[in-house]
Amino acid sequence: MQHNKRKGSLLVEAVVATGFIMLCFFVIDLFPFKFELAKPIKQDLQDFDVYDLHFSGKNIGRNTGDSNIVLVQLGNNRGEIASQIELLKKHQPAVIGVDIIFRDSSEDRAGDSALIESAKGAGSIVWGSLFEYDTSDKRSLTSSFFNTPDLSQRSGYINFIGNKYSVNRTFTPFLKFNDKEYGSFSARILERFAPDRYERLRNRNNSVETINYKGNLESFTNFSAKELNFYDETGQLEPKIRGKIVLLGFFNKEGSDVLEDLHFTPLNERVSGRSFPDMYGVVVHANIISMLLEKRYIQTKSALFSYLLSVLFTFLFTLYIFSRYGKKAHPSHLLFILIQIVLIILLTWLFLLLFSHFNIKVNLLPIIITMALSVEMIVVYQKLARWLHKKWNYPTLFSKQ
Amino acid sequence: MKIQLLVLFLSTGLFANAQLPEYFIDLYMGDVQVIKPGKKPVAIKARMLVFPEDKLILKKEDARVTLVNKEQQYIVLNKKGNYKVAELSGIPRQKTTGITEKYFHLVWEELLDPGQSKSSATFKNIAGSWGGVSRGTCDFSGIPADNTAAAGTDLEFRWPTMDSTKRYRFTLFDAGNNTVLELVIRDTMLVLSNKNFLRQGENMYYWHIESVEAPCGETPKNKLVWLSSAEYQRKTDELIRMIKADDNTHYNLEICKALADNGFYELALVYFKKAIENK
Repeated sequence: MQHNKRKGSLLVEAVVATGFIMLCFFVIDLFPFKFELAKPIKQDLQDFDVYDLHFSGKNIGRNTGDSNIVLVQLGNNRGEIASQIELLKKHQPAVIGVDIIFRDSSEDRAGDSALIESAKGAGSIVWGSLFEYDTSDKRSLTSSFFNTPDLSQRSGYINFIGNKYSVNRTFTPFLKFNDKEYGSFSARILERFAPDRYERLRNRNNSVETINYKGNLESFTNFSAKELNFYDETGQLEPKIRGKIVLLGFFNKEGSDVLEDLHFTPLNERVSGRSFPDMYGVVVHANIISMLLEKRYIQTKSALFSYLLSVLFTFLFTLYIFSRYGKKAHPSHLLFILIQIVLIILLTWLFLLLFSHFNIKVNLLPIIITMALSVEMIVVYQKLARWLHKKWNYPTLFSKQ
Repeated sequence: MKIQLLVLFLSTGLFANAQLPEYFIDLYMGDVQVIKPGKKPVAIKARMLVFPEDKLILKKEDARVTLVNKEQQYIVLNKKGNYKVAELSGIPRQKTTGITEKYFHLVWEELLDPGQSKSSATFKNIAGSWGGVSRGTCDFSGIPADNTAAAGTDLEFRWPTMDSTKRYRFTLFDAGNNTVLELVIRDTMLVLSNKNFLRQGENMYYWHIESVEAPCGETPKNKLVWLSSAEYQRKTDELIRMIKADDNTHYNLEICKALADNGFYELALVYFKKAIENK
């Protein structure tokens, strides 16, 4: 009877202590941490995500590409691009996505005319547009100079919303502003190629989707401008293009990478302190489309779910510590810290495995921070509980210490 | 009867297996030929089937062929030479690192940092040129220091955190002051592979870092001389050979000074450490 009562009070006190730790976490979370001292830590953490480990290196999707998507390097000028579009149309792809915008008409009149001709009546082409906002947060969509209301329906914004210098982990499938909804480049292509998959994307109703990367350029059939012509002349192109999604975009297959439209992605071999951007924009689009087609969505769990898990883990850890106090008046503090470190490492690993095998992503920050705070906060709680016991006879495990 | 049937089944089964193609030609470019046993080489064609006993010949450096196997896996051959089809599956592939291995490697590196005692890290500690915050964004200093001679495949750039700065503009110039590379980054470190910037026939570069939020305009650039590994070795060997001294400490210090005077700072540090150890 006495044993059960003690066990019950232990549980109650563990619940109270967990509440105290969570409260401390929320108070700390309120700090803006704008001072210089926190800057190196903030800089280190801002672009770090442990889940990037799943993609880092270039071994994801190795040897098995997505045969539905073909990447073609853009020609050097508007005339060449128009010729490429004509050549591709000849082989009847399902959709051609042009990952570039032509802001203004150029001095190359012939090239411009050829582009306008390509745009006419070709329902299978999705053109790029650019989502922009100025310092007063005025949002707008810039299209190519030959844009028409009909073409607007067949264009999608090609830029990735967020910080230009951050790692591209997510994409925004749709944007709403000025009482109108705009589709991203990938969503527009999907709408034409696989309407059922497009409906699925819409029904998910997520403002942001995490990209489940398949791989870099080598994971997709890709042709440089020179190869495109060679394969066409030798009759190899037709089976590669017919019925496929062809993305025309900027990339460089030979020689060193060119920084134009090159982005940081989780595939970068350096997980923290990324040095050189690693993926061309058109390859990021290919990865997004491939994910949507294969329904390889990443289920990002809500913040509430993370907080509930952090409450659960903190409670279990607190209960363990309190049970040690129940057995011994002064258990080893060092042992608790060691257990705490091991627990944080193991929990992170478990969630990483969950992500890697089941595509479930849980925000680990609340879990790790509350776990990291636990031992120290329990010491603070002990002192507070003793003071409350003295003052108002608060029932606590630590009253006799 | 059962045994006879089994023998018949096995023999026809094995015979049929032997006739199965190993790959089909997905794409090819340049002069690529296939030799079937006892036949003359013929030029390959797209979607041609190749069998284990066939041989593929890439006659020139620019030739390449993409093969696809039954599991829809791709193999790209892009080096001049003869390839036995039966041996292609044995071509070593890039090692796949599992998530657990990657994670625990990261934990090991981050918590215990076994590489901390290596020379570059020690160099960082002694030079004291990063860490902390630089007051005044035009107070430019960083590593590699001005006039550094470097070699290898990767080059690490570091600079101090600048006041009121979230983003840094890193610029690399060639000897003619043309921009080779311009990057905006949030880190105070950048690792460049030489394939990212090395230009044919160019071995002299200048690098520069500034705050994006508060650019300083014209500020000094650090000169960087990029050498091939062989050249680096030859030049440092030459310098070391010239040094003569009575005792070890003096000898190592003299080498350290000669190397530092010529921009071989990292190696100079190694000799500086040796000199201290000898003392």
